[in-house]
Amino acid sequence: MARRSKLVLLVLIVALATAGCAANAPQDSLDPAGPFAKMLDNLFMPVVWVAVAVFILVEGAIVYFVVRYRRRAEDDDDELPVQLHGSTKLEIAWTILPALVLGLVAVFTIPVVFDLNAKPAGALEVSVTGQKFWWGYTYGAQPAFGIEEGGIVTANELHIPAGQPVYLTLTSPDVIHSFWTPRLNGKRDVVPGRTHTWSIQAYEPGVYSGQCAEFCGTAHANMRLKVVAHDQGGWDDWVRQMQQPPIQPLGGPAAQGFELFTQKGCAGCHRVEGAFEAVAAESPPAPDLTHLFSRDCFAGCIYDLNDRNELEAWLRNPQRKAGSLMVLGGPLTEEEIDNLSAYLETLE
Amino acid sequence: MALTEERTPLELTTGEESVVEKPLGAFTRPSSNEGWRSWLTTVDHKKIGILYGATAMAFFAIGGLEALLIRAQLAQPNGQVLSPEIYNQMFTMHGTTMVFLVIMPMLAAFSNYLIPLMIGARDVAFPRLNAFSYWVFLFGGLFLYSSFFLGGAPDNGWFNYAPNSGVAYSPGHGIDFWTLGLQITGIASLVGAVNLIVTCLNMRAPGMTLLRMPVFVWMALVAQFLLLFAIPVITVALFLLMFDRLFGANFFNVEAGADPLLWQHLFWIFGHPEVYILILPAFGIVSEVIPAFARKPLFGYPFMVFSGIAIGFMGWGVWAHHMFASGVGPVSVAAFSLSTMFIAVPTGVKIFNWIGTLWRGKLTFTVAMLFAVGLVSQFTIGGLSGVMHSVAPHDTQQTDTYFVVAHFHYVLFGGSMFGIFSGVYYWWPKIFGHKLSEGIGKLHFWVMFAGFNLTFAPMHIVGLQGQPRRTATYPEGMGWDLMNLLSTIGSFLIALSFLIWVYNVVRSRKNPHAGADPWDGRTLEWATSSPPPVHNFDLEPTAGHLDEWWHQKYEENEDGRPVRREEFTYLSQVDEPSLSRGGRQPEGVDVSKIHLPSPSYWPIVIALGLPLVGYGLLYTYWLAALGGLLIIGGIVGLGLEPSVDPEAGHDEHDDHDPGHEPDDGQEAELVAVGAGDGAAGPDGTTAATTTDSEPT
Repeated sequence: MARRSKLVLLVLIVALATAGCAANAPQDSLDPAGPFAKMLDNLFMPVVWVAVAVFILVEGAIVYFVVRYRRRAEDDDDELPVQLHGSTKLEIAWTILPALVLGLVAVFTIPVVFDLNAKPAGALEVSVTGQKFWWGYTYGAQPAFGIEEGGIVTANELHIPAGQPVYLTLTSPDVIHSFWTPRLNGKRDVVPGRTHTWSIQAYEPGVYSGQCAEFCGTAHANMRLKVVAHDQGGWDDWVRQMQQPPIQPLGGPAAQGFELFTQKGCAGCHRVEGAFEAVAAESPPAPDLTHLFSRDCFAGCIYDLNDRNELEAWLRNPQRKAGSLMVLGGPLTEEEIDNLSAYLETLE
Repeated sequence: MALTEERTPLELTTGEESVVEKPLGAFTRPSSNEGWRSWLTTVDHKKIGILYGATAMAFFAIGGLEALLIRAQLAQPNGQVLSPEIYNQMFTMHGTTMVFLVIMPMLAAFSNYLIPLMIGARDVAFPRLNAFSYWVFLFGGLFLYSSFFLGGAPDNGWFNYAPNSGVAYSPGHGIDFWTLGLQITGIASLVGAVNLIVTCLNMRAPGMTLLRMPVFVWMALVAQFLLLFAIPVITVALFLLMFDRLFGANFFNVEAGADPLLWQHLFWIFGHPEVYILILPAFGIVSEVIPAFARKPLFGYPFMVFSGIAIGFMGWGVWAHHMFASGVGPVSVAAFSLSTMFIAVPTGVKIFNWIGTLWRGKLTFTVAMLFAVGLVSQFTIGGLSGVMHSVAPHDTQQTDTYFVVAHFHYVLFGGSMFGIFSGVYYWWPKIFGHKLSEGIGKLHFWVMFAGFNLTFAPMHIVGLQGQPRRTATYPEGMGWDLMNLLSTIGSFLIALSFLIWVYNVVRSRKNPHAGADPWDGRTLEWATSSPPPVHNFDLEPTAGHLDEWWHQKYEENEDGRPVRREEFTYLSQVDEPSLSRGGRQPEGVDVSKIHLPSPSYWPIVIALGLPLVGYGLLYTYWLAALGGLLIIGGIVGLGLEPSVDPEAGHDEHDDHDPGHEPDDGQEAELVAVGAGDGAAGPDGTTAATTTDSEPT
């Protein structure tokens, strides 16, 4: 009975594992999409196979002995097995052999520890702030990437050129967060008072999902992010768009929304380049909205910005994301919500 | 002790006649060993062990309920069962409960109950301190749980990283309850560790050298040493956090220049040895159970002992593998990666030696044996995923994901809890006199085995597929839905298996008496009656061998095969059916000469003071002052109280003679059965002497 149940279970687990891996998982660390994640995967998979071999050996021995040496009904209980106290040779062998295997794993592991820490040559540099509960990105002037004086400030969606390394400088103004896009690299904690660095790179253009991986408070689960990797043309377009300040609306609901942006206190935390500059560009307490509608998601990248209803629901009640730190300067009427939304939509 | 030697307590030095006024009511020294009240004042290691076990199982039910709520929330994407605030309290309290209020006290239960019996002692070294440990643990746990009714439980995870634990980000009292509650339970662990270390080192039966100690005692001893050095580290961390939160200190305040990694280092310098505190005694349990049901000795006893010690030492050098993503720098990462790989070596030795014990044995699959083999096979999985973590670069993909959650549940549930259940089934007849039903027990095992693997195996997959832990919700389309649903189904199976166990406990009360030695055991606890008498052994045990009791029962015939002896002697009066397979009752023993420490109110009084100090620090210092008074008064009371009540009569066995007070310079609460490495008969036979003698 013991054997059959275990066997059935094993088959079940393997079947489930296969089913699980086949599923479409946008944050799958087993599906690396860049050289750094690939480097980790190359290290990991051989260890997995060694572990599978040990697993089969150990569990196989257990199952075999359980069957082979189980007491049978016809056995004489007074007849005892040989009182074997051990075997020094065997025990030394199974001390040294695993040590040798682990030594081999170590030989491959240790260099990668140092490689991962090095700054890649010719990398795009981006400063990342993780904070309750969103991600801020600042790109300094980097002519090689088309970024001029004044740089680029954005939030939640990190745009990068595909095929090129990106070197991140991570800081936090509040508590510890962790920057993680599994298909591009492992995670690196974002620790207040410290400056950490980390590299990512995507082989191909695409959207890579990620999220905060260190518990940071109520909305931790909803502190998500996206990395958007562009081909050369897409990157140039994006950089160009991001370096054009938005045009102030002159009439209609958008203009009223512009007024509300100050009246309702939005400008106290959010920056819009050229219009609302009350907060510092490098360390805004809330996401920079200068090019809000260049993005697809907002509020820790959990709501779809292309869906007007999501934005209006957010302005009605920012606490729909529990733990959100956004405070309205008093409740907004439906008209005010429409006007504010109209203004925000001009921020492309 | 000076106060108790040569004269009755409080005797007037002037020589005047004193009028002994008996104090009234509650102030009378407790004397009964029977009735519910005796449980409040008991100093008997067996009763205290049962108290630890019952309390830990109650907390297991509560911690399990929290786990079910977590799994209910995560059964589907965008779960709405719990708000994020409540969810965060649940996973924090689930982890804290299972580590500090379930597995640690459960292992304390086994250590308390079994160590004195296995080493042939009457009790632990300091019985009243032992009672104190239990009450402190209980009140610490209740204090922590009272936070649910006083504004919300802690919600920052069981490792409670700074600076989110600071007042600025966690303004409620939840974190304060955590900080103070764990300081209180830490006192229990620390006192218990000292007590059990002294017990193991000083109270062993004559002839029981260190390398004749049962493996369980060895593993428990290593765990107590780990506690002795690890608890002070977390206490420092908790103390600093308490000062930050209550008195405005800046140990973890980043604005004032603190480095949040200080907390992580302190926590994990405690936290990693803690993992071995949680697993080593469980290793010890299965190292007793597997030989008993393989009917052959443990394969490679010295390797098992020394690998346990090696784990104990190496366990101090791996803490930063919890911090591979924290930014400790490549040199540290490389060093801790190496040390983490190599701690797998002594752990592997243990697994191979258990398998060696099965080899060519005659395996009887009792429920205890099933759980023990369950530990070996499931811990192997946890060990292998542990080796994967040691590949530090890839650990940055694994850490803080469900892969890690899967890993440590395979270690602590598949390992520790399965070991604990193995021990529960194995020693139940010793503790309560009857076995748990084997049939229901097998159902319990298989449902728990299936439920456990269904819950935690899928977590390996979702973890590698990028699901972070401690997330109250997850969106659709991440590919995690099926695995999470399976985990949830599995968790309810685990809950069902626990209910089956509870049913087994209730139902088995009517089972027939199991006798003194139902499993043909190998160690000394099986040589006494079930349950053992309050003084443990009528005859003073001696040990000429490892597995002493087995050697009493078996000898080798001409072919070198073990055969059962005609004649051997139980160490206490056992029930008649126990004698059906040979053995005889001890003779010529006057158990009335054995005296044991008397029950005492003081341990519970002192322990009660600690949570009062805790509430006082949070609400009003007057309460803290009251708690302080209770503690100081209780300590004075305990100090003035002779360990053995001169009024006697607390026990029909006690014919205490005040002139016969031991004075060996330490807290001689107990007349030890034998101390240290006294000589045993060369043939290991038991000397039928009474024990009314001074410790040697």
